[in-house]
Amino acid sequence: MNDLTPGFTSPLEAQACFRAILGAFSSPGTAVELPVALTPPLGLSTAAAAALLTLADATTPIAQPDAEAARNWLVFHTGARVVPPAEAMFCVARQRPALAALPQGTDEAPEDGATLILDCDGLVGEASFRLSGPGLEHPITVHLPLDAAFLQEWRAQVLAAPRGVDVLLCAGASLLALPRSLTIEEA
Amino acid sequence: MIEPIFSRPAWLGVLARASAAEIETHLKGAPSLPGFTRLRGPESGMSMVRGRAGGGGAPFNLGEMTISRCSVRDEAGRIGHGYAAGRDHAQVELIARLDAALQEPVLYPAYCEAVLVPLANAQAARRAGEQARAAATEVKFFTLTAMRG
Repeated sequence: MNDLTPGFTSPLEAQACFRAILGAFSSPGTAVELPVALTPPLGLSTAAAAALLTLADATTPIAQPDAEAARNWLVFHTGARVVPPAEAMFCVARQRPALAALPQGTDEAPEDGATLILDCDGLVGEASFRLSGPGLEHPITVHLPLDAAFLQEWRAQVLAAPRGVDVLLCAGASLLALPRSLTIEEA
Repeated sequence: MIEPIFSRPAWLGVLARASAAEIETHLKGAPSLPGFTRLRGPESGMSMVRGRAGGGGAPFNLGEMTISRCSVRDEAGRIGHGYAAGRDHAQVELIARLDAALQEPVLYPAYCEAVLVPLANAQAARRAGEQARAAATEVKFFTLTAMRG
């Protein structure tokens, strides 16, 4: 427990982060900088740590398949349980788990689908993608750190709509949202 | 007098029943507390108090009470937690700092002697006084079934 560092110092920080994450989900594919001065625990980016401080609580189990070091910190500050990915509401990872391995929700309760918080080295990748769907008036083309396997899994989950997983890509203090309603194609 | 050994739950209990002013007064006779960083709080919130009818019945929600809490990490990396009833943020921060220091066997004797022992004695005396006052007006109920026959 000795590696604990402070979380948010004021509820205003959580509110500002919530507003920023809401903005990110409203304009998919656009990077948003979180307005926080946070020292994240080892193994988590500032954005991923701030997003979990903002969104997670005792009613939202978290899965952490690879970042063991941050477990104490997350449990202390959010009060959330740490569970296997198949039971999690939030899954935070650096090594991407298969989208199908996370809860998808049901047709009656699609909100039970998990949110994958994926830590990346940067929000700009090699491959370019064409994004379209709710929140985007015109399709946009962006460079994202995603691979072909992700695209294939994404196509499969789009067919299962409204079930599926929402994705937050995090790097440094910035994050980018890929809500499940988004159509992602290679460009 | 034999120096009592307080367990962690016991010292947290003694400190939670003492006011910030009392703790500060007793701290004057002890070495100053190590520097610290706040990990969480101090902050106030509500906690549901549950009771059991007759002490052993089904649990029920008695009502909510205001509690404050604070967690700190001191210079040496020790983590201390402070929880107390009420809204006194200075009190829970002092409790958390003392909790961190008391976990260190080298620091324990000084703070135990200067803070815990006098506080525990004062609380015991207060409790004994209240019990004596209540005992003086105690009414003993008994049934009269034996007289019916």
